[in-house]
Amino acid sequence: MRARLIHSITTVILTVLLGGLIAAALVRHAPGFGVDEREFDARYSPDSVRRIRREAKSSERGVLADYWRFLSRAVTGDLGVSASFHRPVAALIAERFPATLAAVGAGLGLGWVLGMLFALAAALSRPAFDICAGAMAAFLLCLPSSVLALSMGLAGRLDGKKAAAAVIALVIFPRVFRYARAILGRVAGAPHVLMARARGVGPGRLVWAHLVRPCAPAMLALFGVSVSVAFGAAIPIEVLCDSPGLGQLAWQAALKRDLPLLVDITLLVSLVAGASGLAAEIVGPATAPS
Amino acid sequence: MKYLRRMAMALLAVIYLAALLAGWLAPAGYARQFRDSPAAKPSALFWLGTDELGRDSLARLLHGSRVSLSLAPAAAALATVIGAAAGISAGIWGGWIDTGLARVMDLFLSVPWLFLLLSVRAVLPLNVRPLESLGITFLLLGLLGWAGPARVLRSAAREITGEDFMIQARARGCSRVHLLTHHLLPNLAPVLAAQFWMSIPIFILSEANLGFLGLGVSQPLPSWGNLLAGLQNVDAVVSCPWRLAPLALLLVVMACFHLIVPMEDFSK
Repeated sequence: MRARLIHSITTVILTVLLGGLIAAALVRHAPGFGVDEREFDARYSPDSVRRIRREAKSSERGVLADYWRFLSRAVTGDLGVSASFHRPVAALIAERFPATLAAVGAGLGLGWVLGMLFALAAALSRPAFDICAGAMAAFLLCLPSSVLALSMGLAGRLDGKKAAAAVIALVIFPRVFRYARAILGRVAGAPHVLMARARGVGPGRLVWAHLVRPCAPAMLALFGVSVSVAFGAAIPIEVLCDSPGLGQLAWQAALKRDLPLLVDITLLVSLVAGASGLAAEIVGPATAPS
Repeated sequence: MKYLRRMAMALLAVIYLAALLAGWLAPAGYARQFRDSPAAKPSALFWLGTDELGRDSLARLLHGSRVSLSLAPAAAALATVIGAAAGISAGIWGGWIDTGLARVMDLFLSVPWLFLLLSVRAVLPLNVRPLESLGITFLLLGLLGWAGPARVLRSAAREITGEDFMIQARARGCSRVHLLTHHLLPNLAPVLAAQFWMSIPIFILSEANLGFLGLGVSQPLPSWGNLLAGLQNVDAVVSCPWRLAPLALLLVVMACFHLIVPMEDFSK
């Protein structure tokens, strides 16, 4: 167990480090990287422009050296300065991260609770409810998160952060519902559940001990994926719901081609998604009934 | 379920046919501006009215559908081919090839899909011609969306290579190419088809999200992404409900989802 845990943690860290290296290489080779704005200033003579380019070239290091420098600075909390916002990246992220974390947390909580409740009800009640719930989940699954955010804007009752959380819940709900419904459906027909019913086990105990607990490890495997989905959905949702979070910041960075800021945000989000997947992997076996 | 699948197929065929006949159904063209009738209501001349710039909404919807319905399958095919190459190689050879490819798949899957798209899209030039933006958008989807299919195909290939018939074929001295073309690929065909069909709606939705964010196909070329972005003008949508026509996307995505196995996990 311990060896597996160490292996999983090492895998997540190495994956993020490798992702960072690839991102650094991408940024380095992006068109326009390292171009000085003065090169476009008509007041500079061709000789001056050539000198500016020479100076820029002489201060260039390799991708690996740059990445190493970035990592050693990142350890001390220095993520550089945003080119478009002219502010430290760490400060920008610290400012925006809580809003995203709150929206994603609330959205995930609500989406999971709704998804599990609907799946349980669909597995245990009449087929008509199952069909209706399935149709609703399919409908939500077929809408891009941006359209869901827009519909929340049309409803116009909630402020930005609450609307973002509600839309994330609507994004998460159908995925949890469909997955949970499939697993619960299989477990609900299992012989031990029929036996428990025949023995007159109460509905509460039947649901908790014979349905939910056997499904818990499989459901937890979905948790890591749902965190990743929620963070991904946060971009259009925060943009359209005007919630000042990381998703909105990433979008602004993308439009202004502030690549270092965008890459920092992406790496942070990947780390959070990876960590939640890892947590689910650790907790999963512990929840399985003995 | 069969009935639903037939309905989905018929619906897709009708929408695709309408998109192909866009030039005949809406001869005005998607970019032509009728400056004396901006934001016009539906009429005999403009069946779905016009937008703020006086362009025929039906023509834009049909041409946008043609773009999305032609290029999303192309991107899905690209992603499936790359995924198949990576997944099957990892599944057949095992060892360090499998470990290396599995790590790369993990790397792609660990980054939230839209963050990955946004980051790579931002690396490329943003101020490009409409046709270039179209190519960039769908090529990106195809090149970045391979990891999901690859993971599924890797485990399917590993499972099949352990089957008795594969062991027998190997024992009879069949070459790797023969094993691949005569035994593995025919057995993987349903998985490949499912991955292909599953990628199409995911890519359509991703393009819609990118278009909404202004990072997809650029104007005046229509696509579902930038057509849906027009819905951001809430007041106009409330007063002119026919502007919700781009939500036909919902029907297409729903039809695509019904063509695949119902309980697949649409994790993106």
